[in-house]
Amino acid sequence: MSVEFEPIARKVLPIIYVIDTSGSMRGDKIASVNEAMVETVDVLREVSRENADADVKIGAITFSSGAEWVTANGLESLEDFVWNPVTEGGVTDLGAALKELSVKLSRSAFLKSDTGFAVPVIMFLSDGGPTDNWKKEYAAAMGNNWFKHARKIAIAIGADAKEDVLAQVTGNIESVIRVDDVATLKKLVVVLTATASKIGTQTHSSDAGNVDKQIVDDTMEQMGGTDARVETAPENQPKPVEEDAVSGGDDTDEDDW
Amino acid sequence: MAFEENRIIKTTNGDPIRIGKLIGSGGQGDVYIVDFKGQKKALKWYRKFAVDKDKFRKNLIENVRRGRPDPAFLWPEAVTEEVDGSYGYIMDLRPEGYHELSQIILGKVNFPSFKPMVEAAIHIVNAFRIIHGIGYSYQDLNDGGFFVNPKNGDLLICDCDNVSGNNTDLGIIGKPRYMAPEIVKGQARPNLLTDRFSMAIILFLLLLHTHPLEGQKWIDYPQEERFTRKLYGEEACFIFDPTDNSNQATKISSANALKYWPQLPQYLKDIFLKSFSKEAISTPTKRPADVEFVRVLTRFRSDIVTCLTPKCGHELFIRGTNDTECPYCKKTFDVRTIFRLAEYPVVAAKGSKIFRCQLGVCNAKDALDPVVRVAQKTNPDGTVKLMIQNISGGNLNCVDTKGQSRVVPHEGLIPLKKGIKISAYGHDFMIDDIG
Ligand SMILES: Nc1ncnc2c1ncn2[C@@H]1O[C@H](COP(=O)(O)OP(=O)(O)O)[C@@H](O)[C@H]1O
Ligand SMILES: [Zn+2]
Repeated sequence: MSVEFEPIARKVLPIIYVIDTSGSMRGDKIASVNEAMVETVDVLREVSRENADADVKIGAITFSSGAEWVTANGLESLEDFVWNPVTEGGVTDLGAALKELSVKLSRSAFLKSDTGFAVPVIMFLSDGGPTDNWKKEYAAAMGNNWFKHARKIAIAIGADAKEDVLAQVTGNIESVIRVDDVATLKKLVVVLTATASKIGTQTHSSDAGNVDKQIVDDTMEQMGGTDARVETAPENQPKPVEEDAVSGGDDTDEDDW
Repeated sequence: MAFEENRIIKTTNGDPIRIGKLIGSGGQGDVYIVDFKGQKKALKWYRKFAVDKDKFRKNLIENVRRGRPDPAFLWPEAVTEEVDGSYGYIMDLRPEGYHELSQIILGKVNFPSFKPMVEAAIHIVNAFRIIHGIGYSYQDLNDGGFFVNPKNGDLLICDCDNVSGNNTDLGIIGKPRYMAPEIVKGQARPNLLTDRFSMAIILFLLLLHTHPLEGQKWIDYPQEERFTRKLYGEEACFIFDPTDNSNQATKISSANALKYWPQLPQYLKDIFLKSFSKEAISTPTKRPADVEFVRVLTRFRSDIVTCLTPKCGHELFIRGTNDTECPYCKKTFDVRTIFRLAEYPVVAAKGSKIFRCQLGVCNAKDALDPVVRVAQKTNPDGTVKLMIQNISGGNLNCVDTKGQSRVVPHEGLIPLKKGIKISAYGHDFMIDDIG
């Protein structure tokens, strides 16, 4: 006989990938994203098994001409999740993805759980600039508290990626990581995932500061030196979206979470 | 940075350390197996410093100098020179069979019975009693810092790099869900009294596999800074707070506690009720002293017995000497023989053990020295009977039922018979019958 306990209750930690699958991703880029995601799922599975503080679940959406959930039935537990390669083709409707996020990050859609949720981590991967009215959808998404408070991080792939747009979407230029080669891209997705999914399980220091920044700093530190082509976007990029657009709406009501 | 295998670095004394395999990575650093002075050791190497690097290093060197306060600590043995702007320290490797407390709480590793679980709890409080007693605080109690052997309850405490003089501010504040409310609220930095609060959380988690502050409100609040500040800080409230049910235990958040809490003896409930009372949450000096936990938990260990009903055999907790019903087969556990200790009676059942601290006041280092245990002896004819065994490591002076003095050597047996008096460490206790 051994001491029998129920598994301890954990908050669900959604890790959501928003992946650009426009035509320009063709070739190496989409291939390395797919490879990275296969490895990422393994990493997340390991983290979700070991993590006593949160139950990690995955979500993924692709955008090209329109947007489509890879995890169409909601957030998936990692135990039996398999990454099916996504394919490219079409334009870059970032707005369509933002709209989906805003609709599905809700207790009436993807955020159903008895124990509730931890602030989601949302990772954007894009190699181009939006082709639809993303600003309108962004403003609408910011009215959703889950999206608004999510830890948003972006990977800008190659020189054509619009870092200023990604800076506005994530709310911070420091949350945009630029990468110029596919080998680094692959590693970055994995390291970023590992770091972001363990957030909240670590000791804090008194001057830790902003969590998104910590995730990026930790990631960069682990990518460290191995490849000089990884860089966070330089300071002279456009400023993030104006204050009032970010802080729209009253967010102190717990019930609408 | 990551080290390549076989790279040699040096300690501050110039002793060589040969780097081996990477064991794992945590929030601040990496842990490697290394060869050091002819032995396999663990090297914790900091990848980054969220705190003042030089102050932290000074503290580490001071810890090495003062030496390990108790064998339960995987204590820093040597600090390395700086390499590429960072450094690390050497400690013992975690031996086979030990698991991180987080894995136990997750249910991935189970205790074979309640006794080793409670022994692990006893080891935790005793270790903290020892470091608090010499003026240190640990500062970062969390489920990753404890390695437990579920078979026997043995415990090792790692991450001793933050340990420092009480009220020394190294910049570490702790891990979310484990920090004392005054730290969460930003009103205090880690110290002896915040350690106590975190320790009570760890003990509750270990014994009940439930977080004591995660009830109804935990379900209602998303896990986001503004809400966690309320849940673990401004509004911190025990799931069994008798005066406030706003955060009460629920089936979803607290299933294990709802099952086992009602079975716990009152003295154990009381110490948790005291640790997580409104008063102790707001006034850190009202938290139970470490030694109170040692007393309560050693007593609890003595009150864990195995149901004697054939085919039942569940472990149960004695709540009074003659009124404990087995929660599984519903039969009353029949207590016949007890040890009459100065403070409370202990049931003499198979597996019972008396520790030195149960006899009377003693210092922390000696608290868990075992004195006697109750063991089953098989007679030549195959029948079995319970006997008391001296496991004190020395002689015990006894007086038998006829008033004769006897000396029982280490591992010697004493019959379980009413009227026998045993003396140990200057205290006497009697074997008695109940009813
Ligand atoms: N002395 C040790 N012996 C063996 N493994 C260890 C030792 N110390 C830490 N570890 C393991 O190394 C990993 C990283 O540990 P650590 O850096 O202390 O993590 P954290 O920073 O999250 O506390 C963990 O898996 C831990 O269990
Ligand atoms: Zn029974």
